[in-house]
Amino acid sequence: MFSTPLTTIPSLQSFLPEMVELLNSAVLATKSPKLIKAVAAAFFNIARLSLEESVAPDEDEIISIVVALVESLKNMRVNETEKKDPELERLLVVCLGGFILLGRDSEGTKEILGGVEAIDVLKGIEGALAGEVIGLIEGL
Amino acid sequence: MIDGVFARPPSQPIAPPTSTSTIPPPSFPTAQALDTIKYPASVSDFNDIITSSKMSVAFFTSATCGPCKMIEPHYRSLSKSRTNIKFILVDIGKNYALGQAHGITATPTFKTFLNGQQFAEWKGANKSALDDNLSRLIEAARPPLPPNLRGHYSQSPILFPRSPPMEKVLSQLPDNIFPKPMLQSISTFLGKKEDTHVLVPPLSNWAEIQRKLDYDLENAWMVVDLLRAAMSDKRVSGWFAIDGLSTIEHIVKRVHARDEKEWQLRVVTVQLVHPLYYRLIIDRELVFNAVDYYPKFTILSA
Repeated sequence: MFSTPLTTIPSLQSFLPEMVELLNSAVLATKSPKLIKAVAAAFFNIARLSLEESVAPDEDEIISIVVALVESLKNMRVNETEKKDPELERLLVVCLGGFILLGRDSEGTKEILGGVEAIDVLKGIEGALAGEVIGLIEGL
Repeated sequence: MIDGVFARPPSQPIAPPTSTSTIPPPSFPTAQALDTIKYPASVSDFNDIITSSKMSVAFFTSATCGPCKMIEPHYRSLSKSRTNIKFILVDIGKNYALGQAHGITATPTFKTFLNGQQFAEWKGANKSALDDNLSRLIEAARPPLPPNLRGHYSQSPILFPRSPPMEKVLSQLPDNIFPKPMLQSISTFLGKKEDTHVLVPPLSNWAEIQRKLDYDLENAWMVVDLLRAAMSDKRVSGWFAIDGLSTIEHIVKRVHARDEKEWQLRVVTVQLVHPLYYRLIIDRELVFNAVDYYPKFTILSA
């Protein structure tokens, strides 16, 4: 028996830019937890597949995803009135870590992480996972 | 003597080709439309390919090499499933200079390259060795994950398999989207998804309906949601991952162009794409032999 992904990042390439835009605009514009969860899951799946296949999406896509993820984490912390969802927050941090690794050779990704104050946002999140992602940013 | 290696006898030296300006692809029976293999005509072409790709593999073959012919179909199948790697094929009988430049003394010889640098070299028509070396190449190209992140990324893809309440959907679905027998087939299928004996609705018809759908319709999201629910079945997602990918692309592009406030349509569209990340654990021959693969899915979805 043998396992192989039927869908690969190159095969998704024809509509990945629209998909990423759809996800980014959704996560930035909505307060619907259902939509944010769906988007975070999609980011996770894209990062997971990319890491598994050792192939990264384009730099522009990585940068826009990183911005959307950091802004989404900021929004979650600003909206104090809303019920906290630690699981969703953790998933967003996992996605952020994955895309930082995928964009580790990109100068643009390094710059944007500084611009959106990713480290400050992550410092406000408890747990070893956020510390690990801070370590990744500092190691770039 | 390395097992499986077809060494060229000294009495049959590799003859320099008369011309290296154009190296036609070898005569393989597979459809050229599906052929993703590169055939470099010169050392410079070869170097361009390996430096423009993070991962690549080269198969050095020759017309008289019997073991090469045995492993060729497997190599070609891998080139279709491992699209993250550039696959190169060099007939050293026709491209003497390339064979010489790479020190090829026997065929088949394989070489993998990571960021343009040689990563591994081996000889012999051994399928397992080819699979293992490609896995090692991918592993080497993968960025090192810290422990917590590694734990998360070793988990399965996140999916949304829940079926919608069919009674509610049927009462609110826009009229005349689906022919009645088709809707009945979808309803039966989604009601008994866990039962693998239930026939999958005709997928090419369903894909055509999705492509013609006017997303201006009220409750258009429900039409996408039906497909989203069906996609949790591996037979459906398997078909859409290959034959129906253009339909998924169409839906994503149409929804992307719609108003951002239509969040229900966006949620189900985002969820629709998730099952494409399934890793199917299926028989090697089923995946790698496209000739077998397509009819089997057609039968399953008939």
